[in-house]
Amino acid sequence: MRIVVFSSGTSARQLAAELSSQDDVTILHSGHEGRDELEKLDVEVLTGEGNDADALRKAHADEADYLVACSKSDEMNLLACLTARQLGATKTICFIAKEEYARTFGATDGGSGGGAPALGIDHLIWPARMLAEKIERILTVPGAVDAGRFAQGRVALLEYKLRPDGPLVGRPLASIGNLPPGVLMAGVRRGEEWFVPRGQSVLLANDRVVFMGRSDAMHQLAGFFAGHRKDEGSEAVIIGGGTVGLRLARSLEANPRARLKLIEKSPERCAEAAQVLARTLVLQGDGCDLDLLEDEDVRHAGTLVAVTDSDEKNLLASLLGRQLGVPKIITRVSSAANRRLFERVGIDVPLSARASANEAVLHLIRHREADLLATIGQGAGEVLEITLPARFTPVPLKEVSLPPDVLIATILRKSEVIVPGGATLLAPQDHCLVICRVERVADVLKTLLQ
Amino acid sequence: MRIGSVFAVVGLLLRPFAAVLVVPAAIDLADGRTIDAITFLATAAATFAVGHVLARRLPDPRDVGRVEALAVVSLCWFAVAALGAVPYMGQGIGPVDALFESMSGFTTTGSTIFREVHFVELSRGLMFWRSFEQWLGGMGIIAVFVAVFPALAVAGRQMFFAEAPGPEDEALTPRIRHTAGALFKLYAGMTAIEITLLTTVGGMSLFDATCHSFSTLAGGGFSPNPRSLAGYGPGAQWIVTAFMFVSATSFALLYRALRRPSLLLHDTEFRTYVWIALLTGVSVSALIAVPRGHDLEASLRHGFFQTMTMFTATGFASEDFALWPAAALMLIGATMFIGGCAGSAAGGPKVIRMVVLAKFLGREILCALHPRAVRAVRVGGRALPSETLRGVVGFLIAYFATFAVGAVAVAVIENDLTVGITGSITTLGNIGPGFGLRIGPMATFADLSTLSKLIFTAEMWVGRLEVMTVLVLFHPDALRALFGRRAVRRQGAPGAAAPPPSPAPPPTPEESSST
Repeated sequence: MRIVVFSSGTSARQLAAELSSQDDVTILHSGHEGRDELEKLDVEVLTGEGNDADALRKAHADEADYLVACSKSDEMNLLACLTARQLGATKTICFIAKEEYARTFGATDGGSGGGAPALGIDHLIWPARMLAEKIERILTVPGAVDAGRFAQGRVALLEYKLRPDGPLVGRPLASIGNLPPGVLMAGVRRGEEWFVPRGQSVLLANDRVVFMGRSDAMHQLAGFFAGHRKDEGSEAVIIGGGTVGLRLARSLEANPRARLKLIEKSPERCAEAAQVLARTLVLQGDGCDLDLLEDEDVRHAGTLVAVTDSDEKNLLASLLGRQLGVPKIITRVSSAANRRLFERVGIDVPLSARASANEAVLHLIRHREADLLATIGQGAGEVLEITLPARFTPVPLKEVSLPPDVLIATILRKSEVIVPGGATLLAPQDHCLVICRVERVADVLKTLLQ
Repeated sequence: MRIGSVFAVVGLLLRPFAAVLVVPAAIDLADGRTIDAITFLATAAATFAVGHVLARRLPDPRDVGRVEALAVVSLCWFAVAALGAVPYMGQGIGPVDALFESMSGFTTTGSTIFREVHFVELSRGLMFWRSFEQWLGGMGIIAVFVAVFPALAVAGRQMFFAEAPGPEDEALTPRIRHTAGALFKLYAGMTAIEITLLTTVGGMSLFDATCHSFSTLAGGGFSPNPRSLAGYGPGAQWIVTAFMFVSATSFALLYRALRRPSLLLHDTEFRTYVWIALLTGVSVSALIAVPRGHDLEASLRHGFFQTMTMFTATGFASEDFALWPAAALMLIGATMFIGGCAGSAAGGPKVIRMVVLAKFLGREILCALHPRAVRAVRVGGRALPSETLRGVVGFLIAYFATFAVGAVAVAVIENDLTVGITGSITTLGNIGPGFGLRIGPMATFADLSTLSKLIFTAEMWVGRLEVMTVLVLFHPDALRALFGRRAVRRQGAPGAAAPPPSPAPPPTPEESSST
């Protein structure tokens, strides 16, 4: 496929690197900053603006299958999409940061999808909101490092990091006893490795275990992992009052028991935050100022969320938070290189708006047959919703030859939520929620949709 | 000199004012008091003449800026009060007393210098005129005239904002004339309903019912009866209580609530107003029941009547509360420092400003605990802009400073603490009676010294115009703008000479709303 990416700065590097492995990528780059990095990739790099029809034509936007506009300027992105569609690009994907554009062009939940095809914008990607919603989901489940909700909330996914003293550690799974009915252990991530556990698997400390199942059953599981800290979600300190911090605080305020503090350095942004947030205590100061963190009693907060736009600040604030004894720390990380570094120094939940957005874009381009519901294990795995075709011949699950480390975690059949066993019969029109490694997606689709 | 423009606009507003003087003249003529009728007509003629002369040099409406608008409002109020005092003098009342009574009328205060004997001797036309003054003052004569005179549409908008009390003044309909017209209809309609109820259920004569209704809706308090509402039955007292309650709610809110009554429940100011009224009313009723020997109905009636009359700055009396226990008086006295809702004819600092003040204090306390906290002051979920907040706090400081100065001055002059304090708040808040036997509900301000009466007259005037409107005129910048020689004339060529931007005088609540 031919893909044109309109970018600025370093915004497109990661995305271009991943796209260029399979597709022809042309990058229309605005300005000089970050250009060198792009030229190291196997892509064509041109300099120009997204609102310049000639530049877009030179980048072959007129015959492109996709135009991805991911520069730092919303307006330029929108114009690039409109122009490219006029020129003849088949589909456009537009990144936005400002809420008003999301409203105008109709972003739906999750920040991906939505859009206004009639105007020339097929898909809107709103990274800030994707991140804010993800943080909120994780925050509201005590102990969890990742959380997802699917099928109108009937199916839930939770990821936990195992503590060394936890009951699951060090014994074969078969000897541990049963999970609540309706819950599956869907995958384990150990370092960079991802596998689906078997009966004889032994879990280790710091393994990240993904569970999936019916929401009511998952609730019991969450209670088991929550321990005695149940106020993580309601008592949070947010460092950084940017778009993500504000959105997060605003949606957390909906919980009447929430006690929130938002620390932001810029007085202007503080004033803005104080206008929007009725119940959050907005504090003007540096999130890395230990005196401030101590004065404001951050040690007793349930969660610390560091979402400034500087990775270094976020890291420092998170480490300070851990030093003070905050049980859950969620950290925003922008650069892909930093993400692994963060995990290495012990940040439990490093999240990147850009990475989630890139995954969403990749999925939009590559696997249109299945809906990407979530990425898990820091991008190692995906949760897909695959609808079995009408010609599918009913067959018991154990007879389907799925690739290794692929799991059909739940089946939605009409209003029913089924957590399948080996004998469960797969039927046409079933919606299967599948967990698999990113590189297995194509195989899974081949197996189930043929 | 731009003061010339101010006089011209005042003159323009005085001309139609002459017409309203014909109504009391007609009553006196019907009663056969020809001389009194002639006084009214002569006043009307003089008013028209003065207005006509002044209005000859009308300025270009675009030249009427902020300072002029404020000056017009202030001077207008003073001018109508002064001219409205003439009929009193015609019936033998001294000039200072006449000005006091007329100012008390137009500012909807209700403090009176009438003695018992006046209620017998003075003409019914004058009695009507007293209440009519309040009714006109209550609607805000400026607002009425702005609706009638489109010539002032541009600057008039500013004037409306200078007049509309309180921080809440969203336009109901896009054009100010429609807004004023809608509120006027509501005001007149409710007056008509009260007159009907008082004559049918309340057992009043049409004349008494009209006078009382005029006074009630305006939050005035003049009564043609020397014993005020104590001279009528329980039915009339309950009706008046209900209408006092309605008259001190925001008319804009009432107008909107006619279509969507649920709005009342969501309005912060209204809810606070109702709670204060209920709690004070019940407490006062309980406190007076035993000492006054009332039964349940009478306790509640007098308790609520007297609470509402002082809270809403009306100033009637259902019995002589000078005889009440101090605890009950203290509660009622406290409500005098609050006043009704913004956007009504009620006086006082207004409930909404007290709500803002409370929230402002809450924020200060929070900031003492968290020195780095940044917090907006919210009313009804909306964050107040900092200018509005500054305006409200500035207003309250100015208001209570004025109260204190007046109270000290009169207390010294009269050698009477009660007269000083309660007289100052009752006049500044446009309420009516003070406490104690000298200026209480059944007493008269007539026996005070001339200087005290002048101070109280000034307090009524300043209080009605929300203090700042008048105070800004004494700022050197405003004086220079009004009287200075280098005041710039618009030369016709657009943009040739805009009026010099008058550097911001001390902020007023109006300022934030009009900009």
